Amino acid sequence: MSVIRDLLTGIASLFKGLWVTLVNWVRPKTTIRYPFQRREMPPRYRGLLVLRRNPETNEVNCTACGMCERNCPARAITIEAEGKGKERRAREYKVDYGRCMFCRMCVEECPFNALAMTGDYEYAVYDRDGLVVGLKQLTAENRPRGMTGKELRGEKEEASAEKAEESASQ
Amino acid sequence: MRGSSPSELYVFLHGLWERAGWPEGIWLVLWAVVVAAVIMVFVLLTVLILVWVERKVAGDIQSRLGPARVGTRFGLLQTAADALKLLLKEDIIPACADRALFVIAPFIVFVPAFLAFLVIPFGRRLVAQDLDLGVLYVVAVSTLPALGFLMAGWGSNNKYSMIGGMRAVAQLMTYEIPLGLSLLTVILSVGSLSTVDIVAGQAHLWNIARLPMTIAFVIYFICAMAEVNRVPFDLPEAEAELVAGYHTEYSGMRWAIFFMGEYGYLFFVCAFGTTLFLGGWQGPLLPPVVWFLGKTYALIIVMMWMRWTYPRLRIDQVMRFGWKVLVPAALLNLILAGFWFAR
Repeated sequence: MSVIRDLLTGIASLFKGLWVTLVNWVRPKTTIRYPFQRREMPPRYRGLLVLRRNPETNEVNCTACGMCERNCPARAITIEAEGKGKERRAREYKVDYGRCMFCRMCVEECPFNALAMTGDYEYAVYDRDGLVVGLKQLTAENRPRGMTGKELRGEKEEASAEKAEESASQ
Repeated sequence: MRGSSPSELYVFLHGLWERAGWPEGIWLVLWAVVVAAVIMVFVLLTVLILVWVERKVAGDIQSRLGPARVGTRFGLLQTAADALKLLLKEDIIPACADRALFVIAPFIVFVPAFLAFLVIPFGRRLVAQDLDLGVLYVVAVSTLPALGFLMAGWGSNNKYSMIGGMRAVAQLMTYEIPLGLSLLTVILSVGSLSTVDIVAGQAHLWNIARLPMTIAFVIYFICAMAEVNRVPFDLPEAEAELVAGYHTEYSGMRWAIFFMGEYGYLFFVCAFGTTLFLGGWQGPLLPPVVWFLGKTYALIIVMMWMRWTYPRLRIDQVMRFGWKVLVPAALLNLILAGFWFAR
């Protein structure tokens, strides 16, 4: 009798196996087809840096105070300032992503809310010089290398600024 | 060769030829070439589609997407792109290989898959050649790939290839027997070896609905899976043990020919099963060709489903199952069928 029972359970197990694969067959797939589809990054994701602009005047918020430069543990930021007092502005603002470890200390310490981190995670460049990014790329509306910081777009500006303040106060 | 009703297209074209007053001999050769070309193109296109379907099914079952980049987001052109790549690859023949055997082997495997389609009725009159001994012809032709596998295994001069080739032959010969016995059940009830007659006999009731043939179909299906070396029975190319079995040393287009043979044969085995057990092109409302291809593809999908579900057997298990289970079962079923269909 045990032979027959073995046979029947054996055959049943074949169909059980087919059922398992069938369930997985029809289940919707979670794969994101990466270059065509992209994951929405979380708001506090630490991606590439951007310099914020004032939404009314469209001026860069940065006053070249140097807090970010001083607080950067990796010394990735180099600022050259120009002007005095209220006129003080950054002539050049360099970020070396070869050094940057995306700790977000620069953004936390910025007293003028001039820096932000975007959700952009595509850092790859063809040579090491490409990793050093200047003022132009950090502030440009049509930034090269896909630096599409959501924070710089008008409608998202305030919401994310609030969020940044929240996270800073926490 | 039977003189049974030729298709309207044949009659029309033949009439034109005769009116032109050209010799009959050339017509026969020309017609044979045309039929061969049509079958060839059809089989190659089917293989192209089947490879894509297989990869999609595999992906879906394993919670992946499968091909999704070349040719729309469904990867429709993936197989074409792969074929192009294979064509451009370097042709490598191992230095110590038996060159003649090595070169011929893929074709020995590939050509029978074509030949077998000669007797498959795709529609009411859509059969290349309605042979009296159609089923016997199929059995004869489908034994040929075993020779090709052995040639490839021997010719490669590689231990894995050799083991793979030997396994392929042992397995094919083992499963050929219950396969033939299950075909006999059908022949016993229909009383004809012609595939066209077998399909015609299923106008009211498919063969699979009659008891001994239900069992015969199960045996046929298992044996067919073993014949095309698909996963529960893919020992000849078991990658965990034999690298890739008999086609370890093959690359580029030679390998692709093995591959095409495999899928062509897969399609054929399902088409033949449809013809014998599932009523061939018979079916209401839809045109016969649609019925035939629909049933065939359903069988193929089931085979793929099984492939991506079951683990591989061991070679001794395969042999034991073939000789000690399938052969006696098929023989008993044949006796049962003898009583069942006795009039």
